[in-house]
Amino acid sequence: MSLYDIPESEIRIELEDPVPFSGRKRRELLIAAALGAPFGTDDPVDLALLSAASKKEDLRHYEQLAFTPLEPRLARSVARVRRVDSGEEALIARGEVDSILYLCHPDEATRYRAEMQAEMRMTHGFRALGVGRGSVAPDGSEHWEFQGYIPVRATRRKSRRIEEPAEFRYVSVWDWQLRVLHWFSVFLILVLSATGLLMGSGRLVYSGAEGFTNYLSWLRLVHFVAGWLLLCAAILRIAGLFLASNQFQRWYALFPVRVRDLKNLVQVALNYLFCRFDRPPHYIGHNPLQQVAYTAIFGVGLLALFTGFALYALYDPGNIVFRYFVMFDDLVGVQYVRLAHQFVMWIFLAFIPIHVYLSVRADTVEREGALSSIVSGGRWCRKGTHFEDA
Amino acid sequence: MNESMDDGWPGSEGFRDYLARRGVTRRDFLSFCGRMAVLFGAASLPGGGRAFAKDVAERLSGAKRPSVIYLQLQECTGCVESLLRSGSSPVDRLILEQISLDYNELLMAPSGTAAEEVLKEAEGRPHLLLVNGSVPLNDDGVYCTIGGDSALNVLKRAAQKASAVIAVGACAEYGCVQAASPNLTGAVGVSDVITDRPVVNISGCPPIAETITATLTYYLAYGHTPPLDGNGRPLFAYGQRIHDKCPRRASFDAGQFADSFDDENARQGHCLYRLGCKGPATFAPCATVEWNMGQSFPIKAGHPCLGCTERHFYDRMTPFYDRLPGFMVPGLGVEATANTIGIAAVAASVGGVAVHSAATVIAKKRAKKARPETLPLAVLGDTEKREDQDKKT
Repeated sequence: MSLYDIPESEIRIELEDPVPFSGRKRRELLIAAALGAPFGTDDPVDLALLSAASKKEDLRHYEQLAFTPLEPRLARSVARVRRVDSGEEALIARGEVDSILYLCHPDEATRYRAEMQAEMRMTHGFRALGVGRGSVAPDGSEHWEFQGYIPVRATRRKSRRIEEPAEFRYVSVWDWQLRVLHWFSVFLILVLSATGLLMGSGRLVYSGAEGFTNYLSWLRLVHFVAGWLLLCAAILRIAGLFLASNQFQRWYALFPVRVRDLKNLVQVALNYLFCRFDRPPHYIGHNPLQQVAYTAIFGVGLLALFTGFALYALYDPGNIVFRYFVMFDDLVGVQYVRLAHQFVMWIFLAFIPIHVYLSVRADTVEREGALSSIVSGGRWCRKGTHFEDA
Repeated sequence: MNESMDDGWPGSEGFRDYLARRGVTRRDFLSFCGRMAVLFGAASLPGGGRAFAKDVAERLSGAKRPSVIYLQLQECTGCVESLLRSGSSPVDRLILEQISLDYNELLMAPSGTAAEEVLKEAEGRPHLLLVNGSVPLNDDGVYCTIGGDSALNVLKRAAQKASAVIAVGACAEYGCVQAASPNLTGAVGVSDVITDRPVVNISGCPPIAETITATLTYYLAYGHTPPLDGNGRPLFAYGQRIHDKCPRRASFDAGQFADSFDDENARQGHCLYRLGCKGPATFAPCATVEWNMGQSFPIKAGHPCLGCTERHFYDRMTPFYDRLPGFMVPGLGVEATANTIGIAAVAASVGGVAVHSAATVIAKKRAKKARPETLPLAVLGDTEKREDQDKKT
C-alpha cells in the first residue's frame, strides 16, 4: 500500500468488538464489513476483517458483483454482493459513521446513539468503521439499514523481544587467553592504583608506619612488580592483535573500519544519549562505540606504562634501555611525567564505573551479553538476528 | 694576573715540583688524590680506588700549568662565590689559584682596557675555557655586554682556540633562571653556542666546589675531559641520584614523611619528599660529597632538594615545596592538584552512571507506556495528504 511507507511486518491492525445496531448480531456485522471489501484487496484493514469474518462464515458463499471505491467526498465505498446458493443480493456500504448514517436515514435515537458512541468511545487511536446494508427493490429503489460500526486501529509497532523466535545459538567471542589477560590486567590496575595512592598519600601511610618499617619499600616493590607484569600483559595483548585467530580480537576490531560501522557509531552514541530509542545495530564483538572507547583505554594504559617506566628509569639512567626513557624525562620534565602518571591512574579509576555500568547494561538492557562473554567466553545469540560483524 | 701572583706556577714546572716548592707535603698531595679518586667513583673501577688514586697522583705530578680563561657572562656570580668560600684544602686552593687564571672578571686586578688586552692575549694561546652564566641572544645580545661587546661574541672569540670548554653552573649549562619561562632575554647555555665540540657541563645552581676542582684535576691529569652523561655532565659526579644516597632514605622507605617544616616528623629528621624534595629525580653528588668540605647539604640540613642540577629546574621542578605541579582549572582560576581533579572525575563518572541508569529506567517505562504511532486507514478514506495534515497539527 502506498499509504504506508513502512514494512508490512510493522503494521498492526486491531479490531475491537463490533458494535451492532438495528438488532443485528456481531457476527452479521463482521461478515457484512468483510463483504464490503473490494475483491482481491491488499489493504491491511480489509485483510484483517476478512480474516476475522472467515472464522464465522465461509465467505466463499458470496461473490462480489460490483464495487464502487471510496470517494473522498462521500467517504464511503459500496460493494454489491450476492449469496451464491440463494441468489440473494445485497449492497454493503462502509465508511465513516456519519457518512453511513447519512446514507441509511435511521431514526433519531439510533443516529444519536451511534454518533455519540463513535465519538466518545473511540480513544487510543481507535476509529469507527461504519457499515450499512442495503437491499435493492425490484423497482430499483434502495433501502439501507445501519448495521453498526467496528472500532479499528492501525498502529506501527516494533516487535518485542518476547515475540521473536526463542531459538538461540551459542557463539564463542573471546578466547581464554584474552579473558585471562583482561582479568589479570584488572587485578594489576587495581593493585597499581592502590599502591600508587598509598605511596602518594601521607594520611594513609602514617597509619601503617610506627617506627621503622619497610612499609613504603614494600609498596614500591609491589608497584614495580605489578608494573612489569602489566607490561608483559600489554605485550601479549599487542601480539594477540596480530596473531589471534579470533576475528573479534584482531587489530581491525580496534576501531570502525567500514563506512557502515562509522554510521553505526553515530547511531549507538545517539542511543546511549537517549536521542534515539530504536534498537541499535547488533554486533557479536564490540560495537563501534565500544571499539573506540576500549582502544582509547588501551592508549591510556600504554601511556601509564610509558610514564611509569620513564620514572622507574631514573634509578639507572645509564641502562641501555632506560637511557632513552631518561631522555624523555629530560624532554618533558620529571615532575610533569609524574603528573601525567597520576592523571592516568585517575582516568582508569573514572573509566571503571562507566565500563562496568555499560557492561551490565549491555547484558540486562540490551541483551548483548557483554558481561557474560568476558567471563564465560561466549554469548547466546538469537537465531535470525543480523550481526554486523558476523 | 700573572703579575699579581708572583709566586705562581711557571709553565715549565711540573705540578708536583711546584707543590714541593710551595711546601705541600707529599702526604697532603696523596690524600688529595685519594679524595679525588673517591669523588671520581673510582672504588668501583677495576683495581679499586687505591690504584686510581696512584694513577691520578702520577699523572698530576707531571701536569703542566694550563692557561685558563674564566668568563662570567649573564649570571649572579654565585658559582664563583661558592668556589671561593668552599673552604677547600690547600691543594684545591692551589689548583684553583695556581692555574694560570689569565682572565676572570671577579678575581682579576686589572680593569678596563688593561683587562681587555689580557683577554685578547690569552685568547690567542691554547687555553682552558671556563664559563659562568648564560648567553642572551634576544635583541642582538644587548642584555649582557662586556667591554662593549655582547656575551655571545665574547664567548665565541674566547672559545676559538680553547682546548676544552667547561660550562660551570646551571646558567652556563642551559640558562637557568634567566632561561625560565618566558625567557625574556633569550638566554641559552654555552653548549647552544659552542656546537662544534663537546662542552662539559658542571651542573648546579651553584655546583659543589669539589666537582669543579675534580673536573679540573681530571683535565690536568689526563689532558682530556672526563666521561659525560647525556646532558654533558661528568658522570663521576652526576651519575648518582641524590635519592639513592640520601641520609633520609630510610625514612622514605619506611614511609615516614614530614608534612610541614615544623611538625614532629620534620624534627625527627624524616623524609622531606612530601615537602617537595626533588631528590628522587635529581642527579648530583650532594649526598656523598656534600658542601663546604663535607659539612652538610640541603636535605641533611632539613630543606628539600630543589633539583638545581636538572635542566630547566625553575620551570619543571616547581613548585619547589610541593610534590606535584598544580593545575590552573580554566574558568575557575583555582590551582587544583591532580588528586582533586581525579576525585572529581571519578565522582563525575559515578554520577554520570547513576544518572544514565535512572534515565534508562525512565526510558524503558515510558517505552512500555507509550501509545504506538497511529496509522491512517484507507477504508475510512485517509490518504497520504491527510497524514501530512495530521503531522502539521
